[in-house]
Amino acid sequence: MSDAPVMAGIMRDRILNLLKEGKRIDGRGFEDYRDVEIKTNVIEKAEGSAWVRLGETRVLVGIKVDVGEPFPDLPDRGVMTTNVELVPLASPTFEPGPPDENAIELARIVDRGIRESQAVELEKLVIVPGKLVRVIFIDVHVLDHDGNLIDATGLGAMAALLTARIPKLEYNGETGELVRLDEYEPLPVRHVPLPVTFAKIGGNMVVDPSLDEERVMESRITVTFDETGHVSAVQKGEGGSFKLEEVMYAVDTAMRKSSELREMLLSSVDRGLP
Amino acid sequence: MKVKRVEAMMGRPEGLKLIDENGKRLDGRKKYELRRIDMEVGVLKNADGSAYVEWGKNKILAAVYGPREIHPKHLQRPDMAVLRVRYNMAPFSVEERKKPGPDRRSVEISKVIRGALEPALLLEMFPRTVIDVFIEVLQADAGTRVAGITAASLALADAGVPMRDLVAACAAGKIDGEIVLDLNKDEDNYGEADVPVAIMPLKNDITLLQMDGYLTRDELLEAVKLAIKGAKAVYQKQREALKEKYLQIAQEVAGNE
Amino acid sequence: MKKGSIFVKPRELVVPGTLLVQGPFKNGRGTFREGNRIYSTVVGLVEIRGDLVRVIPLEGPYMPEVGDNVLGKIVDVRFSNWVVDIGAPYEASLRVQDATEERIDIMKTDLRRIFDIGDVIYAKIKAYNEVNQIDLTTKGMPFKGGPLRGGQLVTITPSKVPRVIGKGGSMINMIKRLTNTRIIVGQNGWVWVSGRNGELERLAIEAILKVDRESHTQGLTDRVKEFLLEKLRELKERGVITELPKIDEGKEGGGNDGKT
Repeated sequence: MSDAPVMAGIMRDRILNLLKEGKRIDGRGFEDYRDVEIKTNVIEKAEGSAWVRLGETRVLVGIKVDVGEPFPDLPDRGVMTTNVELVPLASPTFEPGPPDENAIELARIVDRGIRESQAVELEKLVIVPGKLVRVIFIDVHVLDHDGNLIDATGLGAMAALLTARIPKLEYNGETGELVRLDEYEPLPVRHVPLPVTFAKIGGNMVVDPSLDEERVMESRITVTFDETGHVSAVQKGEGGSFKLEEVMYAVDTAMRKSSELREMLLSSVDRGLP
Repeated sequence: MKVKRVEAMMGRPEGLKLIDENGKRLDGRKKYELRRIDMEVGVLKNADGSAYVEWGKNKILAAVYGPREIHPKHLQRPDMAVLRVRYNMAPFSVEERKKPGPDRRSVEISKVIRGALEPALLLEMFPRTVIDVFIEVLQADAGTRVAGITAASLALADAGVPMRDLVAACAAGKIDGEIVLDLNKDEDNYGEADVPVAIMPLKNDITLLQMDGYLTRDELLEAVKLAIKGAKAVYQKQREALKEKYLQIAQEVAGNE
Repeated sequence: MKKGSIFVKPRELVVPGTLLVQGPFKNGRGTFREGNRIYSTVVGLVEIRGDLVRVIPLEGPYMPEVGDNVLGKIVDVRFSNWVVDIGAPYEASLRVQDATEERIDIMKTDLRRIFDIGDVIYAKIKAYNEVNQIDLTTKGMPFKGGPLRGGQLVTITPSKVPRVIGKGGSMINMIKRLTNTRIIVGQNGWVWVSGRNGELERLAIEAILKVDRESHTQGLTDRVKEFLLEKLRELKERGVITELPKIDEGKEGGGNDGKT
């Protein structure tokens, strides 16, 4: 919003006028996602990976797995971190350098959704309690920005987690030796939380905003549901405001849309619910 | 790093009850009771506007500079003022020393606070300028972002920055399976969810809404509604605090006569 | 009064977002309109005159208006102009041709000999355009527009300038007469105070800051007079002044020394 380049006034007017007639600039209904395409295991060097196209938005998510120390206050849990890079090739508005506030917010929304639903069974990733655990890095590379990076990233992260295969480890308690076996196992995943994002434009709520829509939106809200009907993250973003009824609409619609997305995701990774 | 909820389950003392059989919480509050909140406006000399808020054990100072010239120049907007928000925690504000400077959490919080304040400001009155809002958390005890928004809104009004409405904020959350108002640190640590909300009370516009935790749809909406109620109580205190600065002078003057 | 509802009392202290009136009113400064309702945007005092609703802010930045006389500080000297800080959100500019009647060859003249960095000038706002460029002029201004020598600069909230000047200059005249000082009150809330006696100069400043702080209270003029007389009696006891100035109301005094 604040860092978007100036938008042509006629485009703004067109988007707003169409919404008044109940239409969107690209012909979608208010609750329609753009076309979604998911490919997994696209990066051989990564333990898990997924390429997601949402309309013209493209993100690539890689999962790398390492071994490290647990957090002192969480001795019985593996470690998971999420990082997003908005690389300059994806948009004229992205600058090289350390993650800016947009990258950080995006990573943290997606991270919260996964973490708070305990989607990854971190307790199964402990090698020596308090000493040695698996460390899961979810790294997101945005490749092309055409709006709604949050949902694209959420889909990509879950697709990569669901298809990741991690090497089995053998730990020798006496010698302290850790041997990496040539056998692989899936990453333990118990839930599939997915974010659903809405833009508020001229008082209308539309799902999965495109970049043009994001440029004219007053505000944004994301609700992350898992398959158990629990919400694991909510985030109102940018300026503007929502009425309570609009929040309720977003929550109920997100519940519905996330289950549609989940069905599509699971069939594309060739898996049922965990 | 955000590991709160799991941490909570791990670190939670054996048999700890966040709500006792009489419905009282650890600090003696009832389910829908706010912590004690004190506000003071105009506490700093240099800043164009300032406010200090004590909210439970939270101690928060907010200052506003501007509208003023923006540097570097390319950041300016030809049609409106730019609002910049920096939320910062002092190293000594928490149990274990926090490394100075912005971490990922404070970058995100600064961003959502900006989004919470922006709709209340008539930024179009000051093209090509910047309004800087600085929020310093001197002591933190859960709910620093809602206390920070509350303080920042007071500081903006104190600076005379034109506003459509004040912004008032409050959080609700879930502890021991129940939705309660305004979690303190222990409740946040050992609880199941935290839902910070900011509103412009005049028309019930929600300008900040986040949820960190695990809730059903109904629980989420219950928490949002409860937080809005809390924010309205906070709003009444904000109005009083803004008037207090001047009423005090008036009283003092009257008393001298 | 036309039809409509008024929800506040005159001079009531309000905060941003307070509903003031509903109906056929005009909204002035410190307010915004939505439909037929008018709300306050600032902390301030309500003023309703005829159908015009305003809120006089108790804090806030100086917003320049063409014709305002302001005090400013030179912060930069460029090729053909000076950059001037007038306490507004934007820097102001004084061009050579607006500073003096003389023809100046800018190739041969060091502009710093006219106004140097740090100099305090007294100028009029000549233009304030849509790209927020503020142009000043010092031509025809008292004190030749400056630089002002001696004295002190204090700042008050710009919205309180009328209060410091008082009706027909009553407040500022009283302060000047009782403290034997020269005072210029810029519309931007910058005030220049100069007196031969340092203690009296300081007293004048105290009085001005008192008006600034207590502007929203009643009976201010009398209170400031009492305050000044009491302080003057103290100064006399201490031998700083030999006699108390006479208080003959309504006599000249000259008003704001910066009056054009």
